[in-house]
Amino acid sequence: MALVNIDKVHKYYGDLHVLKGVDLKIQAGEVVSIIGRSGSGKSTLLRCMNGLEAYQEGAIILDNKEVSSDERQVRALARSVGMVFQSFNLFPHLTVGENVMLAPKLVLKQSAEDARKMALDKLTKVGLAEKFDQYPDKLSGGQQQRVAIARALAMSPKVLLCDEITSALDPELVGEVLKVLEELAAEGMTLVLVTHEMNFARDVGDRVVFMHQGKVWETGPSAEVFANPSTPELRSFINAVL
Amino acid sequence: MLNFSDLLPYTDQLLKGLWVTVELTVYATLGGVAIGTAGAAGRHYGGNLLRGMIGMYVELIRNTPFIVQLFFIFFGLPALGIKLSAWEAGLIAMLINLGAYSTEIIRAGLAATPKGQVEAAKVLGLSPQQAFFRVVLIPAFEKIYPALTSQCIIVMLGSAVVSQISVMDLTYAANLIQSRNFRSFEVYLVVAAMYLVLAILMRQAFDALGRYLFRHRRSS
Repeated sequence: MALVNIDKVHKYYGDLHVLKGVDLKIQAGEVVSIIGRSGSGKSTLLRCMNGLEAYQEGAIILDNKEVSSDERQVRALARSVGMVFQSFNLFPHLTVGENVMLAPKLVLKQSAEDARKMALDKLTKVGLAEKFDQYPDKLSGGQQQRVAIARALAMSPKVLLCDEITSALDPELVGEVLKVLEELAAEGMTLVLVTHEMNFARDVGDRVVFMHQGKVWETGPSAEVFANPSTPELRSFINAVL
Repeated sequence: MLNFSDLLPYTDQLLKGLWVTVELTVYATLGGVAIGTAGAAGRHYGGNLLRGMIGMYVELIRNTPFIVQLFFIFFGLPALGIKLSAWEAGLIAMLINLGAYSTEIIRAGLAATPKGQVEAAKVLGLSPQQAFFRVVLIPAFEKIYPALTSQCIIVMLGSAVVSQISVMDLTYAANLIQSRNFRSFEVYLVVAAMYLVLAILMRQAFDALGRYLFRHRRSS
């Protein structure tokens, strides 16, 4: 069974029909980029995958657990799925190290020592171990986002959801965050990215999912999809963004 | 002629009164801010019924005079069989009063917390309680800390009113002394200075606590 199974998912905001029967399977170790115009439902789909948004029809099974927006279910899912946000969302009153250690201590009940080891390990991975005792507002945006990635990794998730994580960054800081993602991909981490970084989607991603009007409009291996888009909508999208 | 030495025989009364005021203020501040935190959480996260009830409490207290609240508790409640000592009635009135104002102040802090931080806590698996106490609360307090400090000082100064139900606080001592030696000018000048010093010390204590709680700010 695939790591993530999305089956005919519909999502409404009141009268607005945002997801119109989305089907998608993601295998362990895959790097999937979700692209599409704004309003196509790509962020909403991502947020449905860990229960941050409720969906009204269909089913999402992630790591053999049914995803729902029920409070308990969301918490249970936190061990399987991590998320990184566009706006970093680091906790400003905690140091970098405390940000990373908080959930392992509170949720996984790790000892202070184990949590510290884990945090140092993850921060080393994103190249920020020396910032352990700094507060987030002393860090650049790119550094903050790398801490947010380390924080998510400290829960040892099976899949990492990234919601436009480079969109709030100055252009010169985008590279350092993408490099971390590239390394994670090389280690076999399952990544699902909503992204506007088309070069990254093409060069690092295994698969591209193009969303249009609340549906998976077209999907396939990255190189192929970019070279030979089969629908006119994707063709015009690629022409517009590349 | 002004004569401050006439106050000397009453030093003991003044200090005892000062102690009662300090004691009431410490309990009222700790308890009132706790009530305010609970009230703000209830009003921010609770269901309609809870939100409505807390809203009524806040509006009832904020729109009636403190002295009437105090008299109601001390003189009115015995009709329901609830008899309280003057000191207890005074403390309860202060707690209820600060609780209502601080509910409103702290709620503003909660409302100003970025939604993304709560979402981040949620997807990391924190329970709502953990998210509230570990993630939301300190940044929320940081935003409203000056207003909360002022409100606590207002309640300390307002505690002078409890002398009206014969709580032997600093103002009660002043009234007593001036009725004995008729040195109103001197007594009230000294007592006013004592309140002023109390207020300044209180503000400094709050500032010191703030520097500890919000130590992340010093880094920038």
